[in-house]
Amino acid sequence: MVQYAWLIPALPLAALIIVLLVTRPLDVAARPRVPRPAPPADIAHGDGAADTHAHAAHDATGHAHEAHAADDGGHGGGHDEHGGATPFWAQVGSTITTVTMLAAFIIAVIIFIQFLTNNIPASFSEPWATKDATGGGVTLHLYDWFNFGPLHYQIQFRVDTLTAIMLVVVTGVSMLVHLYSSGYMAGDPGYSRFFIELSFFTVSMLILVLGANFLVLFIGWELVGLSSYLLIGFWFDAAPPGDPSDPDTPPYPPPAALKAFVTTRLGDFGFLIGILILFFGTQTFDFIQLQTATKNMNVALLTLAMILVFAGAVGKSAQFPLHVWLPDAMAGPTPVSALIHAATMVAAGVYLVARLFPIYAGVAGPQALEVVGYIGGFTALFAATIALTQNDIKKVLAYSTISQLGYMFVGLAVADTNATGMFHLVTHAAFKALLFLGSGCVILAAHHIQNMRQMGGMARFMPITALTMLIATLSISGIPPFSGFWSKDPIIGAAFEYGTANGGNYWLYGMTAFTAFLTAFYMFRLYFMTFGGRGGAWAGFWAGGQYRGEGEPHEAPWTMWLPLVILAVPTLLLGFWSINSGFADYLTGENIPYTNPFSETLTYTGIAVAVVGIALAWLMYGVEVVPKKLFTGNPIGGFIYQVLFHKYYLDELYGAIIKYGVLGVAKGCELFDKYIIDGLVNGTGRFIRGLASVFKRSETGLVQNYGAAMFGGVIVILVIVFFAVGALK
Amino acid sequence: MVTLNAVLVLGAVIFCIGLFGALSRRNAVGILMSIEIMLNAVNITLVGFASAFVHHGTLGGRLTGQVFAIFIITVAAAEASVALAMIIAIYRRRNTIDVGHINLMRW
Repeated sequence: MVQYAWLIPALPLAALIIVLLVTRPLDVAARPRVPRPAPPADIAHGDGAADTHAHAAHDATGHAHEAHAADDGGHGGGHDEHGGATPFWAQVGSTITTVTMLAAFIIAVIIFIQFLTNNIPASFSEPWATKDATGGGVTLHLYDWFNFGPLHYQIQFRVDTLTAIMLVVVTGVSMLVHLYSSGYMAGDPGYSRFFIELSFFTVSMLILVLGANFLVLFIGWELVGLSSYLLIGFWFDAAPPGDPSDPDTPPYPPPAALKAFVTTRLGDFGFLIGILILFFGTQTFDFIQLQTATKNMNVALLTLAMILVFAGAVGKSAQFPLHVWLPDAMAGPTPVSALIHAATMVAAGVYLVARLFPIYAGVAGPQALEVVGYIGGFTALFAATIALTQNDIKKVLAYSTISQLGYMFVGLAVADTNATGMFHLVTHAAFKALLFLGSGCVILAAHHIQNMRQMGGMARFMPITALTMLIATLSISGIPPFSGFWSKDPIIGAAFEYGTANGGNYWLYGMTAFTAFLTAFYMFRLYFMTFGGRGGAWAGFWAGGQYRGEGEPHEAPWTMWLPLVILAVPTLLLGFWSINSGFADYLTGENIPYTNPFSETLTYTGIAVAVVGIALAWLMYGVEVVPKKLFTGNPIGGFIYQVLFHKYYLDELYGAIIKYGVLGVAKGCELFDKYIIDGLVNGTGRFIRGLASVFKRSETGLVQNYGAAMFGGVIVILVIVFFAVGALK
Repeated sequence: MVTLNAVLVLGAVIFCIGLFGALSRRNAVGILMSIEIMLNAVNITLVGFASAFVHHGTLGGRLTGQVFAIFIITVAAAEASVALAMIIAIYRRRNTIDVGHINLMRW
């Protein structure tokens, strides 16, 4: 089956083309025509922003996407009538994409099982597939792009253990997100467009993970950037959501989409230069050939190239200092956030480092992985501190994603194999997708309110969502036996060993361990503020407190809670795969001896730290015996709170850098161009004109003057020749 | 016996007279005549050299000066006809042959 891996991106691609060319036009044509309202004067992008009928009453501060009803020239139903409001052809389109994604998922699982059971044939009858000499993977040769002397630019896919697990993660999460979206996006006028872009996003990511060389990977890499731009800006005609300087204001989709695209492009610039340095040194893009060819490169140059490649991962995986796009990326619909945060886009950076791990760890200088580790560790801590103070449920989750991605990079940097970081990617994909999809249910139930201050006690209304979210929250907090514990504990342990091996440099261990405490705290703060509260069952863990929002919350339809339940299964059980090092064995092909984590004090320390975080959150938000004023009441705490609440003012700093730095330089260049360059050009012209105004008087137009000048010239030449000949003699 | 020096001085004097006339006359026909004088000054010089060295060199070399002079007379005749035709054309158009008024190429 592995030789048919190209079907995995090809099937969803075919499905999205069918939806794009057939069902979406039918869907748009079937809708009743309504005249477009005149755009309001204060909104430049006002296609349909005036269509705020029927919803304005209950949605003044939330995500203002009632304003899209005229999208696609049709007329959307209400956002709250789930299930019934989706037109027939839109339903057909979403079913096609969901079913093909399911088919792709099944193929991915079959291939994964083939790798898991070591059941890869040594040769294939299909001409395009060949088994690699090293690495145990299979290369699918699609076609030669072009050949240039000894250089071959080939479009090749490669499936090995790393790709196989990524295929399962991407298609699995994407399939569930497709299913979920058919409930979440019901009634949205851009329903068909949403599924096209969702499938396109997944296809891009599949191309990225399947690429056998940098060429294909980079194509997927940029396609992921493009499709994330489309999806984050999905509600491009929304009304601007109020004061942007208040951190509680939801982001505005059009600039958020642009921010995501431009910020990741910054990293991509370094990535591209890194690829070119590697190509310059090795004349190959192929990952397997690079592993041997880089050994002949100058180590300093190679290390620089690998750090530049990591810059691409910093952009895509939202690491400090290029993390600013990810919290704003939640301007897109919640299923998109789930896909971005769990399976696609941010996983790309981690995947890239894991893919190049043999070069990072074996060939390049140690500085390359040090950069990866310290940026990861710092980002983990940094993002976790911001997440402590945010009130927007999706923003807390966004910063937790940034933090967990930092963990993955630490795991890649400090461990002996790439399995440590990759396993956290896999478990994180399950529980973060679950958390985001659950938060989508919450947001819908709370009538498009994302601010957790207007939630509370919602477990009473939506028990399935609350229970699955609780499982995911426990998992991300690192409580055994949930999957998050099994992936996070090895990272913290490896960071400790790294510290011991590097002469007691325990910075990375300290950062990751402290982040574990912060993670447990802010995730349970989120849980209590949303679902629990004082006076609830199980000491506030269940349905406590009163609901602080408006209206009556209700459980989501089955299309939305079913993915939550499915995702809860790996969140609960995935950890047991890593017991006895199953995942590392699978990924590296080596038999790694089993070590019992519960025999070490380090493990108990990690669990204790997480429990303390949960306990603090419980005291502050569960039973509310510790007042928040205790921390924010004094001047120092209040100052820290303000700094964290405003995300270290980094957005403001970047804004100022662009406003005063970039635009200042641009202004300087403009003045230089205006006065120096233009001055030189105009000055030359003016000087020539001045000369001409004098010398033009010699042009009298009289033949005799010209004749006189000619004879004068002849006489001058004669005199010169006469004296020159005389001097030569 | 006329010496070569005397011939050359005569040619130079006639040439300078012609040059002065060509640069100072206002009448186009006068300029044309002055140019003819200059050409004939050159002819005198050529013929003078040819007769001075008549006993030297090959036969072709001895005749060079005379042949050159005949060529110049021929070309001068052709040139004069063209120049006169131009002068007539200018006169018909502008009703003058005063070169002080013919300054179309002035800045």
